[in-house]
Amino acid sequence: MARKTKQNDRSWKSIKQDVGKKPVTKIALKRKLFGGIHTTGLIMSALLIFALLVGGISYFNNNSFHLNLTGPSKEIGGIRFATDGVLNKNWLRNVISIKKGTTLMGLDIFELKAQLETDGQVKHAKVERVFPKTLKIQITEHRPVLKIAIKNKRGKNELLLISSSGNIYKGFGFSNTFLNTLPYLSTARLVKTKAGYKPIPEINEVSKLLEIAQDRYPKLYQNWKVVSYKNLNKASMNIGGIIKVKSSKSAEITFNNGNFENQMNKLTGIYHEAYKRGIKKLGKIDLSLNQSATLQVANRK
Amino acid sequence: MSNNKIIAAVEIGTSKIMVIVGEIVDGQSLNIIGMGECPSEGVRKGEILDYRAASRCTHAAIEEAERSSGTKIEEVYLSQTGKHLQDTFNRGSAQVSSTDHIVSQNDLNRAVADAQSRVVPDDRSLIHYIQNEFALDGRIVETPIGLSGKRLEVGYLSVHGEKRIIADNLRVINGYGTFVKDMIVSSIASGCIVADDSEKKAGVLVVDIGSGTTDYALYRNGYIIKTGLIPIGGDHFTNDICMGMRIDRDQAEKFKIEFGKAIIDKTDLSENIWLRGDLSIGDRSFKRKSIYQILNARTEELFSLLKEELGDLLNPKDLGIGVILTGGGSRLKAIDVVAKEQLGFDVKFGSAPHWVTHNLREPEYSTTLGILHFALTDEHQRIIKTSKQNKFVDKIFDLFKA
Repeated sequence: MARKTKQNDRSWKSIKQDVGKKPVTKIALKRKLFGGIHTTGLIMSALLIFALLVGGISYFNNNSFHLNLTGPSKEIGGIRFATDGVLNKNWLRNVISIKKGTTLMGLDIFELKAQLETDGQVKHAKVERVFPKTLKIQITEHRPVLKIAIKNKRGKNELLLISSSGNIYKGFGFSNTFLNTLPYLSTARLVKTKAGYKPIPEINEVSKLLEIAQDRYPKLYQNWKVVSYKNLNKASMNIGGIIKVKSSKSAEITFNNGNFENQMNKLTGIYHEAYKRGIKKLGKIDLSLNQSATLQVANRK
Repeated sequence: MSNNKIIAAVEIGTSKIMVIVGEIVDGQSLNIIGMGECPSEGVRKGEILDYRAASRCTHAAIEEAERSSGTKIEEVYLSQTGKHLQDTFNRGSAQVSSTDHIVSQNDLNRAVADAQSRVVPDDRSLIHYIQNEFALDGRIVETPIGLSGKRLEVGYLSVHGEKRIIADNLRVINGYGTFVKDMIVSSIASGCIVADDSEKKAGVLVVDIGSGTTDYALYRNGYIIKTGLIPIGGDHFTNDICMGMRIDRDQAEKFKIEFGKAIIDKTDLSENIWLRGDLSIGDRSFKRKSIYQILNARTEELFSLLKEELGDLLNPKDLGIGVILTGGGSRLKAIDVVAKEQLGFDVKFGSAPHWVTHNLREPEYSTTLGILHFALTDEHQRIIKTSKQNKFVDKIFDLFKA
C-alpha cells in the first residue's frame, strides 16, 4: 500500500491541527496542568538543587573549621609491644622514656621510631597510635650470625654481635647457649661511629656461607669456632676472595666466595672419607681450588 | 541507541471508543503495552454529533490507556469511518515513448501523473491514495519497466472524506493535547489484521460489522480495489429486537447476545424465552422464533445491500478466498450462514495474528489492532527510508574522505 504525496494539498494532513489550544474536557485540562506542573517541578527541582549546591559551597567556604577525624585522644595508658626476635619490654624501658601525662596525640611517633632504630639490634620499628590511649610498637630485629670480642675503652673485654648485613651491635636478650653457638669473627677492622660501629659489608658474603652451614649442615656448623675472610670486597668473578673457618674437627677450612653449596658438599665428603679411614681430626682443608681440594691430615690414629 | 517508539491507535466508534498503546521495537516488532476503553457518546456512524460528549469519552479512553501503559501519549493513529467516506478509482495512461516499445521509468511517471491529475473536490480531503495494478496493453503486470508494450495504464484508489467531519475528529484528539500522526480508514485497518498477503492476492472481501456501520474492503491481486460502508451495524440488530418485542435496549442486547441467531433455526423454534426469568411482575416470555425472524431479516438486508453495492466486483474469479467477517457484529450466531447465502461466497471469521494477547483476540478489536499494524508498517518504511538516506550521506562523506 503506497501513499503518494503529490496530492498533499488535498490530503487530510493539510488540515491544521491545533494541539496547544485550550483543553475542552476536564481530563485534558488535568493532563495539561499536571504536564505543566511536572515540567515546572523539574525546573524548580533543578534550580533548588543548584541553589543548595551554591549555598553549601559558600557556607563551607565562610564557616570552615578543623575536623578531628581521629576520635578522642587520651593520656597513654599502655604500650602494646611486639617483636620477631628476643627484645622485650625491659629493653624498651631502657631505650625510650615517655613522660607521664603525655597524650596519644601529644607524642611524636616519628621521633620515637627514629629513637628505636638507633639501636643496632633493631632493623625496623613501627609505631602506631591505637585510640583512645594505646601505643603500639612493632620491632623487626637483626639476626646475629657472628660474634666479635673487643676491648672497650676501659680495657675490659666486650662481646659484640654481627648481623648478616654486617651491622655490629651489643646483643640484648640472647641466651648464653645461643651465643656460644655463634662463631667468632677475627681479622675484622672495626670503625667507630657516634652511634656505635660502622657496618662491615663483607659480612654479607660470609653470612651466605654461614646460613647454608647453619641450615643444611648443622652438625658441621656447631664445630665452627672462628671465621675470618680476605679480599672479599675486592673479589670479582668468584676468584680471590676467601673465607677461613677454624673448626674443632679441623685446623682450618678455606672456602672461596663461589658456590658455597658445592664446597660444603666436598667438605662433607672429606669428613666422611676421613671417618671411614679412622681419622678424627684433620689439619688444613682448602676448598677454594674450584675443581679439587687439598687436605692436610693433622693426626692419625 | 534504542529505536523503541510508543504509538497509540484510536478508534472512535458508535458504541465505544477504544485506544490501544503499542511499543514498536527497532521498527520491526510490536508489543502491546496498554489499552483504554470508554462507552461512546455524541458519535453516530463515524460522525461527531456532540463535540463535548465525544471529547469527554475519547479523552477518558486515552487517559486510561496512558495509565495502563505507564506512558504519555503524544501522537496517535486514528481510524476513520462514516457515510462521508467515498472512494474513487482513477486510471491514468501513457503511450510508451521509445521506438522499441520498452517501458521506461519516464513512461511510468507519465502514467502515474495522469492518474493523479484527477483531484478531489474542495470540500473533501484525501485519506488514502493507494496505487493499484499496472496494465500494459490490457494485461495486468506487477512492474512494467523493461517490458514491451504500447500503452501503459495505472490505477489509483483514492479514499476521501468530508473535510469538516475529518476536522471534527482531529479536533477531538487535539483537544487532549495529542497530535494525529496518520489516519486510516476502518475497513483497511481491519483488512490489515484479518487478511494476510496471500489471501489479499487470491482475492478477499473483508467485512467489519461494527455497532453503527459495516465497513468493507475488497482486495484483488493483492490490491485494494474498493472500500465502502453500509450504514447498518450491530446496534440496528439490537434496535430491531427492542422495537419488535417492545423491550428496553439493555434487554434487547441481552436477547441478541444470548439467544440471537441470524438464521431461523428450526430446531428450537417453539422454545420460550423469559424476559427476566424470575416470574416477577412484568416478567413475560417470548418465542425464540420472533428473535430469529427479526435478526434474520436485518442480516439479510445487510448482506443484500452489500451485494448490491459491490455489484459486478463480486466476481468468483477474483475472490478466491471469499469473505472474511470481523467486528463485534460478527459475533451474532450463524451470521456467516446468511452471508454465504446472500453473497454466494465462502465465509469465514477473521482471527487475530498469534502475537495478539488473549484478551484482544475478540473481533471487535480488529480495527484498532489493524491501526497498530498499519503504524508498524509505516514506522518500518520510515526507518528503511532514513537508513537509505543515511547510507547516501555516508557515501558522500566517504567520497570526501577518499
